[in-house]
Amino acid sequence: MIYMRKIRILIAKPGLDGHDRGAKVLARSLMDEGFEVIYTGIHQTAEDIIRSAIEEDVDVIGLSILSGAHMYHFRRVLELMKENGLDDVLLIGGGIVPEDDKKKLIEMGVNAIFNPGTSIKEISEFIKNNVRRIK
Amino acid sequence: MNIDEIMSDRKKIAKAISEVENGNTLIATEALRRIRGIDVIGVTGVPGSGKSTLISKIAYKMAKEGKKIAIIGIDPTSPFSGGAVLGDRIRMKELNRFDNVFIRSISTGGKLGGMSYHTPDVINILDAAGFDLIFLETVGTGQDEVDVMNIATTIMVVLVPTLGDEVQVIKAGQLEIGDIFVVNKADQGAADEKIKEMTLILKERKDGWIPKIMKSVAVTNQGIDEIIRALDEHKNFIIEKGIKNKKIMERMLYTIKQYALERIENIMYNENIEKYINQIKDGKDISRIIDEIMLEMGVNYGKGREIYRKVEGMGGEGP
Repeated sequence: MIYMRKIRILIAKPGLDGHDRGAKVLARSLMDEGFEVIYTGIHQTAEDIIRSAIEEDVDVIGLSILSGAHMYHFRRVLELMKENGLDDVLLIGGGIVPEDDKKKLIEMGVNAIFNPGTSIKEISEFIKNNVRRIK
Repeated sequence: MNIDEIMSDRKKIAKAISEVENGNTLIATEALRRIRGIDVIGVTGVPGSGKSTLISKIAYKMAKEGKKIAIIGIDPTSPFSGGAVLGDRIRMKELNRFDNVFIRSISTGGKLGGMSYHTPDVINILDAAGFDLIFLETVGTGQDEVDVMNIATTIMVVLVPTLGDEVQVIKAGQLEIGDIFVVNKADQGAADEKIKEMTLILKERKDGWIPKIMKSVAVTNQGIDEIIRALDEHKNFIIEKGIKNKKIMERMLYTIKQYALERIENIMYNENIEKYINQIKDGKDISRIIDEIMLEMGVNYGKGREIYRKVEGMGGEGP
């Protein structure tokens, strides 16, 4: 097989939330969809996430948040993305996010929130259709 | 992208790496021209032996002293989907506090040998970018992945106490290439036994270096200072003996060889595979197709066919 540039996705769990089974399953499933997934694990600060996103030159940042602190973490990551000029990177999230908050997050600039029950195909299609970089 | 610009910040280095991974030979050759010949420590060993954790602990101490360190972690590409899970960063979280550390994960792209085709290019970019030292962590390996010896100036092979008996130790391959052997997870199993077995084969190399073997427990920082001392010792040894320049030259030649190999794979698979499949469907003789592929790669297969015909018992007329 030949090397070809794949879409690169960072999967991270911000804050104190340690429930990472879902994030691991997602990382593996996205690999099966042909993506390169950089899995950074739990207890990431927003600064950690941005640093990894820059060094890994990812196309997508995916945050998994089950702790209820989604409004805080997404706001902080969005701020740092702006500060660091990551305008061409998609920010998506998964976890337990109430509908009202979901609307607010999308307004803030998060590209998509996937709640429990979302199929991998749906996430994969969204990424393929929305990645901003021209390959 | 201008090469001077690339070298000026983290984001541009990251983009330049993507470019060369993507096959941008302009940036790759520019970096190759500008390498300064810095130390590359190749770290290899079986999956789960603790390569990432060891690198993290070693790099932590070095970064604290102000050294500019780059780390490349390689993980395998799925032969089915072409995707990958790159997880080496998980073990290196504590390095995030240092501005003088740069970490990048890359996939093998399906290439065997422990690295991707473009790994030398990535190393060259980081060399040219002004780092003091590069750690190159190969994909988790078995016995035969020795490509790292073409790039690294020092090779550290990470072992664990629980793998195999003395017979495993005397076989060819990885255990021949290590300058430094580390038996990690020494708090588990019989680490001292492993070291005793290993000393059997640790004889002086052609270049005069006697491989070192040491114990560590990476997660609790045991043995890290000793490893750093051993790395320093080998680094000084190759400079004193004048071997270092030869190693850098080898890296440059290996970089160029990878371009050629990739070109061949492209000819065989990417560019023409559809064409060949269609020709087979149309009933074209497979041996004719093989001849054409060989010719395209600059190999005249005619002689081989003659020999094949002359050898008896090889199944009639041959192709």
